[in-house]
Amino acid sequence: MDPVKSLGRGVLRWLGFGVLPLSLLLGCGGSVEPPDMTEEARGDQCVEPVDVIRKDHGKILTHERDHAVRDGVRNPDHGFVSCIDCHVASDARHSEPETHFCASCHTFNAVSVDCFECHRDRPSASAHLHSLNPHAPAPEFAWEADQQDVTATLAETGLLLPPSEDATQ
Amino acid sequence: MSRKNASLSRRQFITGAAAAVAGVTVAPGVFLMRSAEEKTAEGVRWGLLIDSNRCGDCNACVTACHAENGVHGMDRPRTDAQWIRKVDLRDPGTGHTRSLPVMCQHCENPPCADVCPTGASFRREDGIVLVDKHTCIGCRYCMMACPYKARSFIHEPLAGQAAHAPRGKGTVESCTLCVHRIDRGEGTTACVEACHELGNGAMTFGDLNDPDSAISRELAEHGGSAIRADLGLNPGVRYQGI
Repeated sequence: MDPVKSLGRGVLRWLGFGVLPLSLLLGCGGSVEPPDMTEEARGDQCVEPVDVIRKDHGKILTHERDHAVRDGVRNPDHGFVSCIDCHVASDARHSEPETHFCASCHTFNAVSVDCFECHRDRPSASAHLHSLNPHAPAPEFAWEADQQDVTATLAETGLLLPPSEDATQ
Repeated sequence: MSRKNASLSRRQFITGAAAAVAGVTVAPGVFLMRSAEEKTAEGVRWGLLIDSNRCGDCNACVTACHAENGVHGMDRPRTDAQWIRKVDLRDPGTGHTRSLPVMCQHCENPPCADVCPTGASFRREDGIVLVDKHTCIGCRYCMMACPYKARSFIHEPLAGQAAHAPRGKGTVESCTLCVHRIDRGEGTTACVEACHELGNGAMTFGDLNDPDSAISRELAEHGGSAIRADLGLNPGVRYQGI
């Protein structure tokens, strides 16, 4: 075989399979905007540090769900319902990911696990707070006027610190 | 080794799965186990007693159960989910009729759990028979095995479930004995509550293992029978007057 021809073919192959697709990929490298968090249901703090919960929320939920379902061991810090109560707006729908805290990020990351085919996708209570969570909200968290009753009830049962003087006014 | 530990399976021991645990994160991806204070009460067996002499022509228990657990019909009676239903009995000899609610009977030896190929049907330590929908594949063997026709299959996508009662297409479900209430320590179920408030007070909820509970005292005094007692399933739901 003609060595020049075979060299030419080699170069063509190199271009075809290597350089061209790579350069096409490089052309696609625009900036990627992560989805916005819904301000309405941001929650004032999380039950774990943000970097931990961001990486491991799936692990924590899966890890503890069998104990919850089968043994009745419920960790209020890591309850699925508590996540929803705090972080999802009451008018959000998982079928409209842009409105939904969990679904927006799952869609963005092409994660197809969907807890919400069975689990309720929005809070059943109107007040966004850690309803069962012994972690009290951050001290500077401003209570809404319509949350005062809930707060007082939770404080009675020892689940929350009573609302501060400033917040009650 | 304590008696409790001796009953652990090897897998449970290795994974620590049998310990009543809650995760404490020490580093990303690393969790410390700690004992949780709350779990199913030990030595308890929850049950229901239904006095069919009192139970009348009312539907309060059915309505309350379905409202509590977010069970909505699709106007298709053949396939609609049904956690509890009223059954009318008529003695053809005398013409005497009576009506009573039938739901999951929470058997001690549940046939649904026997036939389940994935282990999704199970009996909790406190006697409540449940479906773990995380592992249910919707094969419906349990529906065929159940002699009480207590289970339903969900055929269609759902929305607006109750927060404490996840339900979804492709899984089987049945009465949970209001397990969310029991775990909150309320000591009653939606049907029993409704029966006393709106109905005829025919239902009693309680611990069958506690001789001082209302249900045990009533059973000791007046007795109660199981439906299809011949099957030897020892259900947790007992009836009087049938």
